[in-house]
Amino acid sequence: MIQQISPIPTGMIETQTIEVSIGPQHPSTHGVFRMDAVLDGETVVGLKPVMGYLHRNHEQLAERMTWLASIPYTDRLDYFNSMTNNWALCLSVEKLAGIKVPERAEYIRVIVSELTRILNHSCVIGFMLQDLGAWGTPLLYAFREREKILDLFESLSGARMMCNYMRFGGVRVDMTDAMVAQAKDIVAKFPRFLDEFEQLLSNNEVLLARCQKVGILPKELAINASISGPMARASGVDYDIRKVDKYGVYGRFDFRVPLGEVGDVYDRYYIRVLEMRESIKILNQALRDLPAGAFVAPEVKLRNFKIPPGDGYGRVEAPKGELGFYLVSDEGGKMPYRYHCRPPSFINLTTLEDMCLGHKVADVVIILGSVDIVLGEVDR
Amino acid sequence: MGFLGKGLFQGMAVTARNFVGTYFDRGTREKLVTYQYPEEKPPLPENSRSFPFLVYDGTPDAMRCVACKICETECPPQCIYIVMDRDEKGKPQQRPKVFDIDISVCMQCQICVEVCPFEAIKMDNDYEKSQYGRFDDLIEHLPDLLKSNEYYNEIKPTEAKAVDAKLKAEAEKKAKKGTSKPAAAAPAKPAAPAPAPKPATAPAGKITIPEDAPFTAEQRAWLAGFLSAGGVATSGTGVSPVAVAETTGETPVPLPEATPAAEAPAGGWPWHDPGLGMSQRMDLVKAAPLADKLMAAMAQTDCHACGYDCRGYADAIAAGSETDLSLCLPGEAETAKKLEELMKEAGKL
Amino acid sequence: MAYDEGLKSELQKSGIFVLPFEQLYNWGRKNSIWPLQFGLACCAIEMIASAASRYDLARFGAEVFRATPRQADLMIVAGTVTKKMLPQVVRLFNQMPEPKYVIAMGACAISGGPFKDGYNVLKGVDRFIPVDVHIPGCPPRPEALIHAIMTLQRKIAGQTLGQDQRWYEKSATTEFPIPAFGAHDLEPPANREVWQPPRNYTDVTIAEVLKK
Repeated sequence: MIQQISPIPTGMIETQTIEVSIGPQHPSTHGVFRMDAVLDGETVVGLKPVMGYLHRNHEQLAERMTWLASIPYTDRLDYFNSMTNNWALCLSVEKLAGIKVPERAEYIRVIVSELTRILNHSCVIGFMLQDLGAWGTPLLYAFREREKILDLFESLSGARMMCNYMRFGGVRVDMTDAMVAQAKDIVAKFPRFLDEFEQLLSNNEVLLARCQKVGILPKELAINASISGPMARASGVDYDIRKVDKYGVYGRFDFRVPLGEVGDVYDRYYIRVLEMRESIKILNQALRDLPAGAFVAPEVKLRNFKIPPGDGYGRVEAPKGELGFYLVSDEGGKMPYRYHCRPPSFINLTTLEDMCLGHKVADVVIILGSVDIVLGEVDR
Repeated sequence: MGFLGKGLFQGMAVTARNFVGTYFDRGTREKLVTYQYPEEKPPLPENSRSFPFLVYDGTPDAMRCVACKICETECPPQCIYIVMDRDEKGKPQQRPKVFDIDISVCMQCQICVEVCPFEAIKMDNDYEKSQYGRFDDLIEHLPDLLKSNEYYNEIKPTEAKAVDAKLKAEAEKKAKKGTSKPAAAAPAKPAAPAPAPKPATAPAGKITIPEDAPFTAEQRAWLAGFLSAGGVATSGTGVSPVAVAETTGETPVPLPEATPAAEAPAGGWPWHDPGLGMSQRMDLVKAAPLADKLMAAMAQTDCHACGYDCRGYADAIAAGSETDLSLCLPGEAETAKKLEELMKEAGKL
Repeated sequence: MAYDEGLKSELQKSGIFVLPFEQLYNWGRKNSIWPLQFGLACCAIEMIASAASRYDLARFGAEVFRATPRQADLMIVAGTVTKKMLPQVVRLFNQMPEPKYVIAMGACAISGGPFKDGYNVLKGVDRFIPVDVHIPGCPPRPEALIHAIMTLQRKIAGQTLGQDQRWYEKSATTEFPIPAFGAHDLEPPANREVWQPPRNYTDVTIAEVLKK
């Protein structure tokens, strides 16, 4: 929608800026997100993100229901990664209530979370290339791999996307031997797909031309804006909560944290590819070491679950960055008094303007694609 | 590095490989060949879930649901609506009169299944539910929801077998208790009082269930309560104390063999029978201590909706460790009112 | 429109296919439903999955996701419609050319779903635009969406040419009023011409269960 049209210049040739509203219905905004871009010719000179088109009152609803009932709602935050969302909430509640999670449950959580990570990263690369103009192919390949992982999730938890799989003190259903075999099969075959994916994309001249030196996020800015996840690591910030907190059993696995040098869109793309390879490493170790035993802490009640007064913050390394839940429990303890979610993609989105300034308007969509937002999480 | 455009050619080679590969891949489905959906349906894993349904054993009349309303309270989006069935005298019948699930709201989270203590509600895997209408077609009523145990066994064999085994074990335990009870030599809990006076005679029109009738112990207990309720026509709706006073002494209760008392003392808790009305139950505990009176005010389903069984909740209230009197979901307002009344009588409120 | 079924099948045996024009027209229409590329929330991912190769919506002629409403026949409302987003949804629907159809995909689009208690969530998109097919589920599986498209195809096949349809009427409303943001809620909170909730709601009793 063009709001201002430059008048016929008088005297010296000058151009006026125009404002373009991109979204909320736009094929490249990854949902209902709007950017008010100010353009000088084709160059972006200002950009204001407008959010709230998918504000679903997650926090307010959670403050009115039991702890257990909030778990299925976290599935719908970042709807690609229901498993890590579940984990973040369960981790906070377990911290607050002092619940010890059985060994096997911790391993299963690691397995499903890392599978979620490779699912998310392959899909986000597909979507980013969709925005870049590679219509279909990478996205279709990514969705094909996603289907394989979703098959496992469905046989494990019963649902494809909204798994609602984790419970306070463990997981809901045990992973049977058949499912472990299925997971091993996925993990064994995934590197081949990744090689193929890289062959398709990484050296592609069009991709290099469009992505390199575009949307640079300096390291200092990334730290100051508390950017997390692959985006921060692409800018060279060595910060991975799996390494920093060592939550769950992540301390036992041998994996590296890939870091970028430039912090442009290409780095953000390539970091995700490398992270998938590291996830495969973790998965191999976790599936190898998966211990026998209980999959849920037996002392945790499903109903009438109460938490003594107090507050706690639990965070996990979700595929998009640091996902944390800050919870306050009061006297009754049946439901949270305050429930706050720290969504990674919302905070990663704050630097969008800094990355876009000076670039062409066509680059805005790939920069947005490389941030990896999911509107369910941004607006909550 | 090669020549300019090498990356493009590499990419095209990958695409070509995938294009040809899918043709030779029909058997292994490594490349996930398209499902020709309406003709060829993708196999669903056993855990797969869509919407809840209610399980019945044998006939739809013998549904497992006792209308305890736990799922209604626990359902995160609040899409379940239950009204307990009552006979013409207002006596609870331990089964739902109305059980509606608004599948246009249901978020398929399976929490209702997890919290149900009676294995009554389970997840279906039928996803073809597209409808033209919104209000008429998308609300599932009791007739739509009721499905047989055989159907459940068909869609989820492993899970259903485990459930069946569990229910059978429970029923056997109960049946054992029921038969050995008259001979038992009072291994009572210390808190349990002497049993309330037993009724002298069974009601005239009492129908007894033959021993060889094909019922599980649970069904037997339910039927006994049902039949005795049908045979009794003395008291009114039974909340008024006056009515209780009038019917004292004549109120018949079912035979003790039919009462499903779990860990009752010798003779059982005669009032622990969901088939009885509130006034009948209160009659039986006229001379009993407070904990028994409180217990008699409950709905007697042992549904654990309050977090205890009926005995435990009564003991907790009597001991003062539980102050909330409104936790009995199947008892509804009637129980809450009665509990308050009793506590006031005892001077504890 | 009366025609001889016997004669038709007789001719069919000798390779001559006779169709009423209406049937041919509807056959063409129902096999080229172009949806609007319009994702709102979680269900949009399953919509993409159903368009991807494993479920392949193209087998039903509905794979051409158009980014502009001017070229679309079908609006798949896939996800939660919030009050902030609703004016845009209605505007998009207004911009679609007739005949146009709406599929409400998922619990949120039908009734607000799990988020129905939220202050910012619209309790069903059918309050403002007419919905043809509802798919319950949260989110519905891709097969469920395909089933809904088949349901819609059946509906289209049953439509008569030149009469009984909204878009043939002289006083047809092609423009649905776009609600404004009021002090507390949208104004109006629902378009009463589109949305007629039932007045009475009867309980289903145990007697009916036993009868069944």
